[in-house]
Amino acid sequence: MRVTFLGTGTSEGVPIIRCHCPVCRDAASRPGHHNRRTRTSIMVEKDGKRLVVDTGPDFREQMLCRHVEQIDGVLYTHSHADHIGGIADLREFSRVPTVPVPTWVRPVPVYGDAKLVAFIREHHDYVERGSRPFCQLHQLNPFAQVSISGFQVTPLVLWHGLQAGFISGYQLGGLLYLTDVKTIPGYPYPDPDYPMPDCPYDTWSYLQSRHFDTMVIDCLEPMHHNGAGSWRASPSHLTIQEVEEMVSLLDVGRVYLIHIDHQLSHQKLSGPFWSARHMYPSYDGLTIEVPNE
Amino acid sequence: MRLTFLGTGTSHGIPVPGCACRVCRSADPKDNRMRTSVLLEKEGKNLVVDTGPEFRMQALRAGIMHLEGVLYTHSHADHFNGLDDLRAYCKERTLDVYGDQEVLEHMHRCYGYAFRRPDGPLDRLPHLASHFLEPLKTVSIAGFSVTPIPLLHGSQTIYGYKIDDLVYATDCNRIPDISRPFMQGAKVLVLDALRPSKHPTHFSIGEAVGEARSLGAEECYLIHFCHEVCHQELAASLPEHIRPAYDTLSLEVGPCA
Repeated sequence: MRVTFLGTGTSEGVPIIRCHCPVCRDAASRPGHHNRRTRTSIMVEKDGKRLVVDTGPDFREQMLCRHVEQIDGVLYTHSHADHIGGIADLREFSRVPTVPVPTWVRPVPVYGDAKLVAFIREHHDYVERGSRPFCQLHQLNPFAQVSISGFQVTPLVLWHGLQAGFISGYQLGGLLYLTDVKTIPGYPYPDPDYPMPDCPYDTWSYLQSRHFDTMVIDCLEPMHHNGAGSWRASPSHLTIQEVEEMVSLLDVGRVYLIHIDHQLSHQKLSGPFWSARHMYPSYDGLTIEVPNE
Repeated sequence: MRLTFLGTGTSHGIPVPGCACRVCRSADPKDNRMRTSVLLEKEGKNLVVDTGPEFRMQALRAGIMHLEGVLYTHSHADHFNGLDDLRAYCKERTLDVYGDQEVLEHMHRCYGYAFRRPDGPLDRLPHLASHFLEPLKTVSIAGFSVTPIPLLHGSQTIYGYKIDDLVYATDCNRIPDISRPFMQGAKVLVLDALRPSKHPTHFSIGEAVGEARSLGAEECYLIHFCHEVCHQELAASLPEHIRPAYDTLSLEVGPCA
């Protein structure tokens, strides 16, 4: 299975509009540079089939950059704008763009948890409406493995902070994809500043009892100093320090960091300290091979 | 007032992913069109009309360092789904956004979090203040004189805007009689012209040219093109004072003669 990182940046992307920090300046002035990050999304490919996880506002641009002409399904992690804002552009993937009149083929199958499906029906109802619906919504249940276009997909439960609540991560064969994570339900050392409400699922035990070839995980920023010697993390994302701690407790071959903001440059994350822990920064356009099982 | 076209394409943008037609494969950068939006600058103040999904890219490309307001024409995804990226302009204060009742309702329903109070200095969310604009009633926004003009986009009524000496009319296939006097004799008219053939919700190029003539604008720029429109060919075929717009085109809109 081939994994392509379509976007690896946080909700604002990098460069951030109006920011003059060295990372943003670097990103703005050098097209194709690893510090230039569109919103987080990946594509997995196997036997000519293709799934995309999330469609942020850069989805169209990402499809054009990677010359993608056809996709077989979309998995959504949650409904924040930086992960769903490009959903309207799935319209073009429900047809063959012949000229002058396009040939309509079939709606794109779209998957997510119950909350996600309800959100799309409420806020993006046009995807299913009219004479040519372009998405077909399917609800997935936590930890219930399904086969989608030949991919074995297991939805996992993650906590993305108080505002978003519980969202979906995915296991696709040997790949573990965990974006927008404040903590993993069942994790024994959660951030005491932001307690997680009770959760009926123990995702941590599921992860700890298995080996994964590759883990792709949210790593927004470094921890922040908070006055008198204490540290404070983001209310809704993991910091690099928290990811390092989690990784040390799991059996994963290698870790790619995503959802990175301008406080973590590609250069900072590329050092021997991180590679000794098998942790690597991802970048837009990076492709890796991951075993199917 | 300076007018800059941030995007000039129809809902899918050009090129269309996967399309091999000659316009989608064109090497002419003027055939590369993001979703339709414009920037207006006057005396150090900036207004944007609509925020499509590429708003962030457009803002970076045009180097928009501050924003005093956003006018919305309607709530379709290609004019709206970049709203979350307005967060870049809400770091010091709330940003004023304007539209009709339909736009405001959609905004509050789908982006309710943008209207809550900031949590603190680490908060990165957009913080917006929405304002209802009455049709055909002129208001002053950041020093611009703005008049919302009802237009028909199929069966839906949306807003065009008269902004100082500019009339901006995207996504329409009919101009109600009541709106015509407000659009007459503009210095610059910007008008929807999807494609050569007729469409149920957009002006065709022929219809747009006819309207431009009857409205008597000094200059007219056509927008919201689909991939049936080749920039160079269209430019060569239009009457002298009517031109196809393209992404990044920027021009002065002076007072009417």
